[in-house]
Amino acid sequence: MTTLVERGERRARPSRSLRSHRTRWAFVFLAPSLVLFGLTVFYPMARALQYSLYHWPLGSAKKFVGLDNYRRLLVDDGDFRQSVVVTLYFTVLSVLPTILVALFIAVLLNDARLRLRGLFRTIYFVPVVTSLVAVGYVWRALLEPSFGLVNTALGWVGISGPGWLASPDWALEGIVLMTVWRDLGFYMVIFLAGLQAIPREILDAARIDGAGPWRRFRHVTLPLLNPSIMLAGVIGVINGLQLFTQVYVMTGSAQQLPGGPLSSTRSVVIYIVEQTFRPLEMGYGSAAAFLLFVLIMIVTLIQFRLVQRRFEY
Amino acid sequence: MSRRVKKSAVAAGFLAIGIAATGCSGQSATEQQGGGGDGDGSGVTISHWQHQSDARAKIVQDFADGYDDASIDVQNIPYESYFQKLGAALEADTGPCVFQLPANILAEFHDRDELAPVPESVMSAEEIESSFTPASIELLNIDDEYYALPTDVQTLMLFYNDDLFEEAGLDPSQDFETWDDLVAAAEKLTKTSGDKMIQAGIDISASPYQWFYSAPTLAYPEGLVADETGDVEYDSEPGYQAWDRLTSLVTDNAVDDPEFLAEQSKFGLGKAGMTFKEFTFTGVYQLTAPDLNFSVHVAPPVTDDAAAPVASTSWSYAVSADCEDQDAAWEWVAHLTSEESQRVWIEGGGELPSRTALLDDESLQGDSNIAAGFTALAEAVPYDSRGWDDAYAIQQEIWDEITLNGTAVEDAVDKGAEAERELYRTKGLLE
Repeated sequence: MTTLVERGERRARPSRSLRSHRTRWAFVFLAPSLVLFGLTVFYPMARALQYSLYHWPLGSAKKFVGLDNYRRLLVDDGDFRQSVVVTLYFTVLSVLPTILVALFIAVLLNDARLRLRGLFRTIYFVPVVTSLVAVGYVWRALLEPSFGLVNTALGWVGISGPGWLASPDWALEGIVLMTVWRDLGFYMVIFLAGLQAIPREILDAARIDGAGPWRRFRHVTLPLLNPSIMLAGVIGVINGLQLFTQVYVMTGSAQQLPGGPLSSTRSVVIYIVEQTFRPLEMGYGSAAAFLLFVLIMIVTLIQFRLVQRRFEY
Repeated sequence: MSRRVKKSAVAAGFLAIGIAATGCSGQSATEQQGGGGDGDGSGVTISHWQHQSDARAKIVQDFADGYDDASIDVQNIPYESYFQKLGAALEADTGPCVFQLPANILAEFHDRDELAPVPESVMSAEEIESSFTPASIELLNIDDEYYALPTDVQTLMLFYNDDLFEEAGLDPSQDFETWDDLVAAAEKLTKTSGDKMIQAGIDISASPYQWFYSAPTLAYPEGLVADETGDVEYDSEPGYQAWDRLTSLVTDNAVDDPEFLAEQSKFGLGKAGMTFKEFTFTGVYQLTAPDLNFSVHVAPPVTDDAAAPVASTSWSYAVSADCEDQDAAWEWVAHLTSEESQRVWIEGGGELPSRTALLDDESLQGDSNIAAGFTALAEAVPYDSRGWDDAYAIQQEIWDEITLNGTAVEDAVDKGAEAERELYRTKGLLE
C-alpha cells in the first residue's frame, strides 16, 4: 500500500527559521493553558510530593521524615494494602465485564438491519449522562436486602438474594453491578465508533473468501477494533483504580463512614481521604496518593505493552 | 507575523497572567476579619463558621442580622467537608474568628495553639461554672482555662414506639430498670416471617454509635478516657461487658438484623419498637414521621454498676487564636450562648439548654418527651473520646468486627482500643 506522501506531492520542508518562528508562536498560544495547567495540576502535584516526605499533622510543625511515610504504607499498613486489593479487585471485576458486554451490544447495534437502532443507542447511553451521585442513591435503594427491587426480583425466581451493601461479602459486588450498568453506554459508543471505522470492503472480502460471521468477527473485526479496545481498557482501568464516588455515595451516610462494611469497599482513594482529612495528616495521605499514581502508571504501561498491537490488511 | 496575530498573542499573555493572579488571590485572616461592608457602624466584622444544618443556619443568621455590636459573616459548610476546610483554613491563617467544634476534640485544637481562651471581661471561670451544666462545660476547661462556650447539647435517650409497645403488651410509660428488662422487651417487639425479620425490637444496626458512645462512657467513673493518663479505658472490665451486651442484641438476641431495611431508619418507618438516639431526634421524628407515636426515656444501665445514667454529646463555639478582635468575637459567642438566645435554640433547633437556669423552666418543657430530656441532662456525663470521626471509625470497626465478622468481643475491643490510643499518640494527646 502506498501512502499519499509516497505518491508524490512531497511538500517542501519549511526553513529552520520558519519552524522556530512557528514553535515560538505555538508556545505563545499555548501559554494560557500551560499556565493554568501548571497552577492547577503540576504545582499541587509537586507540593503533594514534597508533603509526602514530611510528617505533618495540620496545626503542627512539619517534620522531614524522608521516605518513612512510603515505608509505613508499604510495610506496616495492612489497611492500605487491603485498600489496594479492594481497588484492584474492583477494577478487574468491573472493567472486564463492562468491555465484553459493551462490545456485544455495540456489535448488535451496529447491524444495519436492526430497527430503532438510534433509540436503543440512546437508552444505553442515558446512564452515562446521569449524575453518578443520583445513580448511586438509586442503586442503593435497588440493592436494599429486604425490600430492594434486585432481591425482590431474585425472589421471584426462587433465589434468596444476598445482603449486598450490608454484607462485607457482597458490598463490592453491588458497587460493581452499578458501575457496569452505568459505564456500559460509554464503552458502547467507543466500540460503535471503532466498528464504523472498519472499511466495509475488508469485511466484504472476508465474506467472499468464505468466512462466516464468527470468523469475520474473530479475525477481521476484533483485530481492527484493537485501538478501541485499548482505549476502553485504559480508560476503564484508570477509572477503576480511582474508585471513589460510588463507594462514597453507596456505603456512606450520616451514620456510617464510607468504605464499609468492615472496609470491604474501602478503595485507595477513600483510604487517602480518610488518612488525610480525618486526622488532618497531610504527609501520610500525600504519600498514599503518590503510590496510587505510581500504581496507575505501572498498570497503564503494562496494558500498553500487552494490548497495543498494530493490525493491517 | 501579522499585527492581528501579535495582538492575539498579547491578549493571550494577559489572560494567562490574569488566571495566575486569580489563582493566587487567597484572602488572609486579617483581611477577612477586618473587611469592610459591615452595616453596624462599629467597623468590626466577625467571620463565623459552622457545619450546615438548616435549623441552626436560620437561627444563627437571625441572631447575626439582629446583632448590633459587630457585623457577622456566617458561613454554613456541609458537614462532610467542614473539618477539612476548617483545618486547612486555620493552618493557612485564613480561618474564621468564631467556629463550631465538638466539645470532646477541643483539646486537639488547643494542642495546636489554635484557640483563644474566654477572657475574664466576657465571662470569668466562676461565672461559666455557675451558669452552665457540668456536662456541657467539662471538656471545655483545659489547664484551668475555658476555651469555648457550649452549644447543641444532646442527651442520648431511648425512644419507644408507644403503639408497638401496647401491641406487644408492654407499658410505654415505664422506664426499664435493668438491661435484661430491655432485652426481654426487645425480643417481644421483634417479629419475623419465615427466616426474615419484619420488625426489629431495637433499631440499632444502622446507627449503633449512640450506644457505643454511651455505654463505655457510663461504665467508668471518669468516662471513656481516664483523666489522669488521658488514655482510653474500655479494653478492661466493665468496657468488655458494655461491648458484649450491646453487640449481643444483634448476635445473640437477634432483635435487629443488619440486612433488614439496611441503613434506613426502621424506627422512623414504624418498623422497630425502640431506638437510642440524640434528644434532637424528637424534632426529627416529628418532622419526618408525623404519625409516629413515640415517647422518650432514660435507657437502663448497660453495665453492672454503671457510674452515671445518661451520656451526652455537645458542640461548642471557640474563637481562633489568630482572630484580630478576640473580645468582639467572644462577645458574639456570649450572645449566642446567653439565656435569651438559648430559649430560641430550644424552640427552633431541638436542643437542650446548657444554661442551668433554664433546666427548671417549665415553660420550655412543653410535653413529657421534652421534660424527659431536660431531666436527663441534669445527670448527664459527656462522651469524652479525644477523637471525632476518626475515633468513631475505630469504634464502628469494633462493632462491625463483632457483629459481622464474628470476632470475639475482647479481641475486637482490644484491637480498637489500641487503635484509638495510636490515634491519640498521632495527635500528640498521649505519650
